[in-house]
Amino acid sequence: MGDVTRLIDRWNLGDAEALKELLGVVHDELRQLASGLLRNERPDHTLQPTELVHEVFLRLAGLQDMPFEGRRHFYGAVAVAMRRILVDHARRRGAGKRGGPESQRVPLEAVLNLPVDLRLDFVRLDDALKELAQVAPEKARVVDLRYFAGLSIQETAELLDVAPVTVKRHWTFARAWLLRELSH
Amino acid sequence: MSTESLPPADRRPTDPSDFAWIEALFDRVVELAPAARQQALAEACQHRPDLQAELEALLAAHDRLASADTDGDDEGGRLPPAIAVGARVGAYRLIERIGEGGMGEVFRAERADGVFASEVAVKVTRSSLAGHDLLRRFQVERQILASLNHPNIVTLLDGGATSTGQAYLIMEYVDGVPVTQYCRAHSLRLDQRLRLFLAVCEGVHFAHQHAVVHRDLKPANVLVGADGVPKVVDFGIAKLLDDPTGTGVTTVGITPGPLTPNYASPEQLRGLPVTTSTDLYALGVILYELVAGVRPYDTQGQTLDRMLEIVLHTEPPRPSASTADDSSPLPYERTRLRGDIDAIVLKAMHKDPAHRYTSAAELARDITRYLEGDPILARSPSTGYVLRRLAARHKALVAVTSLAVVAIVAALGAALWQRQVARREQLRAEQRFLEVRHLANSLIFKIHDAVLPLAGSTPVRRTIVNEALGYLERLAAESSNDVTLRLELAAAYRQLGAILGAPQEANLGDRAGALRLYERAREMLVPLVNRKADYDVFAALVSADNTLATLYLQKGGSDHAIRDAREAVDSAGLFRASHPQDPRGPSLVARASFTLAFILPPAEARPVWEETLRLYEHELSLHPSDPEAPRNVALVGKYLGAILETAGDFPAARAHYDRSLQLDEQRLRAAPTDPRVRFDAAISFSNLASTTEQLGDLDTAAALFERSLALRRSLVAADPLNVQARNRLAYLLARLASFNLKRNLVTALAYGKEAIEVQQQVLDKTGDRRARSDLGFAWLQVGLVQERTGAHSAACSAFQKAVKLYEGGSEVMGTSDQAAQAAEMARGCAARPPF
Repeated sequence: MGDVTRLIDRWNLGDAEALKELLGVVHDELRQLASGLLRNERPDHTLQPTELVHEVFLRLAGLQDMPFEGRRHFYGAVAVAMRRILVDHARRRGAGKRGGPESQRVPLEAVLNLPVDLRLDFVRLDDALKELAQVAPEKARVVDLRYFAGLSIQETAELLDVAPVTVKRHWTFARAWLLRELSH
Repeated sequence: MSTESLPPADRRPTDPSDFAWIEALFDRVVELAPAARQQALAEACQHRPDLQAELEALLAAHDRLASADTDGDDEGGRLPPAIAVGARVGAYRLIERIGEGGMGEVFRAERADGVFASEVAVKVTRSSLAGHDLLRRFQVERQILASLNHPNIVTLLDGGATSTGQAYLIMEYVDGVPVTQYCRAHSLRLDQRLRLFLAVCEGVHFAHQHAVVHRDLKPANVLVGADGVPKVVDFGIAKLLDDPTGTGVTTVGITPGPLTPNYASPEQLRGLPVTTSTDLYALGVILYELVAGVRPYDTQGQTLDRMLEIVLHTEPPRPSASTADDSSPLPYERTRLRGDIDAIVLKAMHKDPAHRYTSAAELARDITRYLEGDPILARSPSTGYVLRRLAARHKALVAVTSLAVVAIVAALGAALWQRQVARREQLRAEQRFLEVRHLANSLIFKIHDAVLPLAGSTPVRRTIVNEALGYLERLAAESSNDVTLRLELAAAYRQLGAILGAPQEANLGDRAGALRLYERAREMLVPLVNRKADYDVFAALVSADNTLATLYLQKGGSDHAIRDAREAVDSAGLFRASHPQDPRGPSLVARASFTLAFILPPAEARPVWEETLRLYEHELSLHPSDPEAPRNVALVGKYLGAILETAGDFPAARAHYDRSLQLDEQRLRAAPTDPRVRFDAAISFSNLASTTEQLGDLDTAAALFERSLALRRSLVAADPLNVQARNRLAYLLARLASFNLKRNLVTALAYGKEAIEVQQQVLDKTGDRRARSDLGFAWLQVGLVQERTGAHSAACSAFQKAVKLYEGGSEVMGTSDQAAQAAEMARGCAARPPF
């Protein structure tokens, strides 16, 4: 869809409105795709963001034509959208309460392992990530891309233009930090 | 495992430096074996026991996650260990793992056969090079590196490949700490730091002569041992390990270890070929950090995109203006870096390789020149600079405070000289060179003679001005038709005019002389506007008009002043309209409208001030690191505040004063001894004190007044001939008399009397209308105090003096009310029968 490419171009030129629109488009598309999956949750309660993201990407933008900067922004947008969808989903399930009964059944060690376990308390994870972003924005960004956009260490490193070991370092620390945060 | 078994983390660090500390330690120990981890943790936490629980909780969480990673996921898993402690590599046995990078690990090792007792460091790559042509290439490079024998380079002893094809390098083991840490720990003086750095330059230069580039110079790669000798580690290793193709081109992301944008040169970050100049850049950054105690760019907590943006496109603050990091105070004032050191550092780390030093030896020579008090290369070979440098070595001159003035006039010669050499034909340049040399000589010798009896600096200044004027007149006579020269002459007249009587700066109080010079400058410029309508001409004309306007205002010709100021605004507007793309247009308009606002009566001025403030705030948002930008905003804030204060809108006035003080305090922190910054801050403190007093918070007001008074006294003490500083001190003293009228009459009287004494000196010197009304203000305050203490006849004569002074005084904001009050008090006491 050329629409998305144009939005990304505008965003690259510094048009902040374009980001909002782009997020909206990506969000709608993701939600539409995810809603089926979320409604008919698989027996193992998992979700593989990678498949979803690729699907969205192909439907919206087309992998071949997108310039690198555009891809960077695209995945950033996807991560944000996915995080929002999962948080909303968790909110509905927990009827607005934090830590609904089902989320307690998730072993915490599974936090931030892929595939995503839908019984996780995404509301608390979201809060914890916001706090992490306060002290270490680059680590929170790595978590977003790895976890919510399903990118590998290598892909994340390319997108952020850092060495894979750096991504690995951020990821290791962030996971430990989040687990400790969610264990209180 | 239940979640309850995790150690409780009772308080989480929110302080960024705590977080950074935890993160660094976590990174360092997380992959260590349990025992080694425990030991490292215990050692590190000795200094920060408060953070130990947090670290342990994080590590426990990590271990639980690691044990849950059972699916063999290579993504989440750890990097494979390169090789185990105890293994034998070449003739050495690995004793202890001392570091890790992206490409491999570093061990401390010793000879397995015990032939030599010496310890070595061994680097082993993680991946196997077996079966590649790489291995052969690796061997060749290794030979070159092994030939680098220099006391300031860590020697590569051996290298090869293990049986599994992992490449290894064996080098001298340095039991040292990074150079920055060494300087901090030993609290080295500036000259000691520079000498340490000179040794680093020697090592780097030696390697460059052997065509070996380091490519990853940073403090962590410059280790200083107990003997105080710095050694550069890992020379050429980056290339050896990272450039299997032999193209000499490195991709940033795969450089061993995370390449820190702070030390990587712009060309490196762009992925361009790396040369010796890349190392020179890194040396510049290291030097910056050594002398300023902070890194040039604050990239902490930034995203990589933002970091790159910062390093590639923003100018670092001069080392002398870098923001202090209180955690590691320097044992010297940062202001000592101003000038030469600033120039050396910024030249070394210039974004364009063509502007950097051509070699590490050249950089070292410049530092040596600085240490020995000789002129440095980094600053253009200008007469003025050389003169200043020579003057600084001259003992008789150093003893005198007029050095700053020598500098101003010398800089004028320098400006002419530089432009001449660059632009003029050879013959003229040579001729002018002789002229300038004549100037230099006469300045040096005549200043010397004038200063010898140490009679104060005024005769010195006169000598300089007269000398320089004679020089200029000769030049002017020689070429009446030369546009560029006319422009330069106009600049010279303006500079000399400023020394005689600059309205806003320290000056000699000779306003008539200043007016004459500025008028001459304008005469030079006006005909040029049509002939050569570029920025320089407009800027010079606007500046001359502005200054003339201010000078006329001070002299009492406000119609004349307003006319000149409007002309300046028109000229600036003309430039902006004819050069819409030029970013200097708006700031020129801002400057002109500033002066107009300053000159207009308050009622008409307010909208002009508001427009000026808008323009300057915009400039500040565009150039936050330009030292003039915050000054301009703060200054306009003060004038706007004053108008609002006079109109009785104290909360609005306070908002402007608050903003101004915020900016001025920022500037004061950056340049605590800069007299102009001190002056600005002094005004800010008392402005805010005034409105705070009006709003009823007398204790806060008193504290603010105190800060202002201390700054003003220090300014007068530092430059006794500066009449402006004296005027502003006297005004505050009078203001404090008024403030204490309701608090303490004894204090009030003391302040008032001192105010009169100091202000009278100013008036005697300048005859200035402003000083006259300010003296009136002082007498009025003394009268009011005496009135309260019952000394009616003394009060009465004080009021009468005040009335007289106000009659011939300036009519700036507020004075008419004061004059009216003085008149009323005088009438009141005249009507009262004497006791």
